[in-house]
Amino acid sequence: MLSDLLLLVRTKLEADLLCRELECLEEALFMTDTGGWNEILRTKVRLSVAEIISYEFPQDIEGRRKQLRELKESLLNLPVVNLTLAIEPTLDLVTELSNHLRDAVNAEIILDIQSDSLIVGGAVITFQGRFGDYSAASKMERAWNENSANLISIAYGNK
Amino acid sequence: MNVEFVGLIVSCAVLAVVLAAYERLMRKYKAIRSSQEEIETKARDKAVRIIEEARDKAILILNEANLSAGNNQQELENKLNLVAEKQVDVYKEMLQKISKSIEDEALDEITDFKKELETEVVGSEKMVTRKIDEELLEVNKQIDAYKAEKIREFDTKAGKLVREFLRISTGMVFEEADHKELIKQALEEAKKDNVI
Repeated sequence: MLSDLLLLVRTKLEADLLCRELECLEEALFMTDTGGWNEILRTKVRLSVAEIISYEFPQDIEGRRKQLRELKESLLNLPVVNLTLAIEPTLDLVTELSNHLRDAVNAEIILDIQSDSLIVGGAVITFQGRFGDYSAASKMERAWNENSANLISIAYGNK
Repeated sequence: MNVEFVGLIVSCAVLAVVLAAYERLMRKYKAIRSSQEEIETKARDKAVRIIEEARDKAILILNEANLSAGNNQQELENKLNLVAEKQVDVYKEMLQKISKSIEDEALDEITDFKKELETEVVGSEKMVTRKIDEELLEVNKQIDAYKAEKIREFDTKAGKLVREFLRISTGMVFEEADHKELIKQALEEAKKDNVI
């Protein structure tokens, strides 16, 4: 059940959104109106999330509270992969990247994606304290550093 | 004849006696006087003679003394000349020795001075050469630093220019699929590097 919900979360933005939705539902637990839970599910929770919660969550308040707490903890503990891309990714690309990374690390992760056209292409990746610059810009810079002396000598002569 | 007459005769007799005594006394006086003059003349002559003899002797002695003095002076002069000549010879010899010594000393000093001068000149040449080499090295270092700085400057500018051009050009050329491919490649490389 939890994994179904976590599958919906691919980015940090979506994780924050889900976290806010869960907080709303947590507040609904304390409403005197018995219809408050369903009302929140209808009005403040996305359909995809609401459907899973409606089917999978227990009916008693204590069970719901427990589930919400576990789900929230899981969300907060999800490893974050920071990605800097040269383009604003489409939804498909985000899904594809998320799946790719989940397979790669063999665990649930969320993406924190930022766009920076200066990197030209590729990606700059930070994950659990590790960093890798696989951008086209850095490759170009390396290529330039390796060949600039030759290029300069070609341009100005070997004086 | 009376007393008066007799008195007169007696007076005349006394007078005659007195006159006779006077006349005798006068003759005696004259004789003494004449004797005195004679003695004085003799004494005077003798004194003159003695003085003349003394003078002649003094002259003789003086002449002898002068002669002797002249001889002694000549002898003294000769001796002095001899001594002076000897002294001059010794002095000349000493002068020659001193001159030789001074000459040798001067030659030694000149030789030493030449050597020192040569050493100084060689040292100066070496110092100047070393100084020039150092300055040349410093200038070369500055030139190298300047070249390196210029190359770095150019490198930075050119690098930025190239990157900016590629960013623009790749933005115009790259499709989404190309970006996706580059991103996937990046993820693969990250996996190989154990970044993910």
